[in-house]
This record gives sequence, structure tokens and C-alpha cells, in this order.
Amino acid sequence: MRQIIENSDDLRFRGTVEDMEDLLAAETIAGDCSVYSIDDDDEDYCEGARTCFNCRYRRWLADGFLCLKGLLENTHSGSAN
Amino acid sequence: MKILISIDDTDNIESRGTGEIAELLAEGIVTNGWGKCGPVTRHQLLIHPDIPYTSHNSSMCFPAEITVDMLNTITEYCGSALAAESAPDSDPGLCVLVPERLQHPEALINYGYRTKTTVITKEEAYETAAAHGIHLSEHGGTGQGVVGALAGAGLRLGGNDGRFKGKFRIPSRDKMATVKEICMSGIDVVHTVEGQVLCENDSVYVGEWVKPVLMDEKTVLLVVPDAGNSGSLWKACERKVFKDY
Repeated sequence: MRQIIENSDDLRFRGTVEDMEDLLAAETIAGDCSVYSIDDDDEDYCEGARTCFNCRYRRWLADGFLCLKGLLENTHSGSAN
Repeated sequence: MKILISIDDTDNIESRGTGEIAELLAEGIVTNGWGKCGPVTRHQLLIHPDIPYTSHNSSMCFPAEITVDMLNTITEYCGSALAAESAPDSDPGLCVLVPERLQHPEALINYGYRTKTTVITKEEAYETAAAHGIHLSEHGGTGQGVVGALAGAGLRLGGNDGRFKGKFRIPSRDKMATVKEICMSGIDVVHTVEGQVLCENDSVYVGEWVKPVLMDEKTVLLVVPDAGNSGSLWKACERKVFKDY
């Protein structure tokens, strides 16, 4: 998954809600996630969809987000493709 | 007189959000009979590695109409309630602004916009507040929330930033309503992202609820041409658009 990149001490998702490929990638990760929890409607950017972009555990970065539950590591290692 | 109450950094990833605490403060003011409160707006600030935000770095602000003699009571109440209601490991800040007492409102508005592009220190926030006679206080943790609290007040004062918290439900038929009907439901203006104002008989697909933004001191519903099959020429903007507001 090209959206997940290694930083110095973490993994992060680089992508935006405007990009269809990024949207699909974030939906795939969230679909397999055991701790996914939708954020309140003021922070919901994808009309109620199950996607990391709507998850309360994503921490926005300038060009994407971190998963505050560390689930991107699982995805990166292949468990969630 | 009108005041603006703004807060920031009240939450952690498991707690309720800052917007809910803002609504609690507003509810307390009304319940105590101290004044009337307007809707809460959310103001996006800079996302930067040097800023210790929880997940999205936004502050929340609401206006209240009060009598002058209640200002200190309300300020003390908000400070106490903020300390009590914020998450244990948060860094809450409170700003209480009296717009009519500001000699240079543009300076505070500029400060608000700078927090969208620049890393601002607590010291600068306190200096700015002191220079303009604005109440700014911290209520736990590092108190870093004062930076965003002051920014939220400045941005709300400017009247051209942020989106309204909560769901605005528009009475509709098949999720469609005319602009006239929308404007009877708490929305001041309906226009496109580019600024084209719709006519009162224009029909808009509003769905279950909409989320307006603050523009020109008005509650604005943003719309885009509807290329789908709703039967309407216009539809309320998708939520991803709000990332820019």
C-alpha cells in the first residue's frame, strides 16, 4: 500500500480525502481494523463511511495522518494488505 | 453586551471533544440565567510537528449575550467548569473576549489567522491578550490551550472562519428544500463555494442534515451543482469540503 510510509520513528498514512485511491486505501485499513471508532460528526469527512479519515484515533498531519492505536503497523506488515 | 467564549486543548483521544465542553459551558450560562448563547463554531489551526495537539488542532468558540455585571461570574464559571470537565491529561485554555472593548480588533483577528500558518508560543498568546485587555487563562496541564483559545476568539470575531458544530436539520421533502425553507431553519445565506448566491425558490438536496460555515458573520450553507439524480440543481457540499473551513 503506497500510502503507508515510514517516518523516523513511526508509520504514517500519506493521502487526502480528495484522492480516490487514498480513500479506498483508508477504507481497506479501517475495514479490517479491530479498534475503529467513528469520530463525532464535526470531524467526519466522508459521510459516515468506515474509513480511517473518519476514525477518532487518526491524528491529522499536514499530508495525512498517524494512527494513535498503532494499527498502521499491522497493515504495513501485511495483515491487512 | 456580547462576549465571545473560546476554549481549546480540553480532550484526549478517548474523551469527549472540545466542542461538547463548549456546549456544556453555554448550557451552564443559560441554565443559570446569566445570558443567552449562540451556536459553537470550530476553527482549524495549524497542523505542525511542533504543536502538541490531540488529533486535529481546532478550537471552539461561542457568543453569549449577557449583562455587564455578569462578566466576572461567567468568566469564573467557565474556568472552573473547564478545569472540571476537561480530560485529566489535557492542557485547557480559556479566552473571554468583549468585542466592544477592543480598540484594535483587527490585531486579534490577525493573531487568529497567524495561528493557521505559524507556530505561536504561550508567551505570545498571553502578551497579545494582555495588550488588548482580553481574559486568557489556563486550567490544567501545560496550559498550552491558551494559544488556540485566543485564536478561536479572534477567528470568530473576524466572522470569516470555521464551521458550526452539530447537525442542522432542514425540514424537507425527499431530502430536498427550497432556499427559502432553508433560510427559515437557522441558515442566513445559501451560496456556492465560489460565492454565487442562490435564489429563494431554488431547490437544494439537503440530505438528513447539513453543516453550515461562518462567512461574512453569517451562517452559510455551501452548495455545489448536483449532477446526480436527486431532481435538484443543487446539493449541500460533501463533508470533505469542510476540511478547508
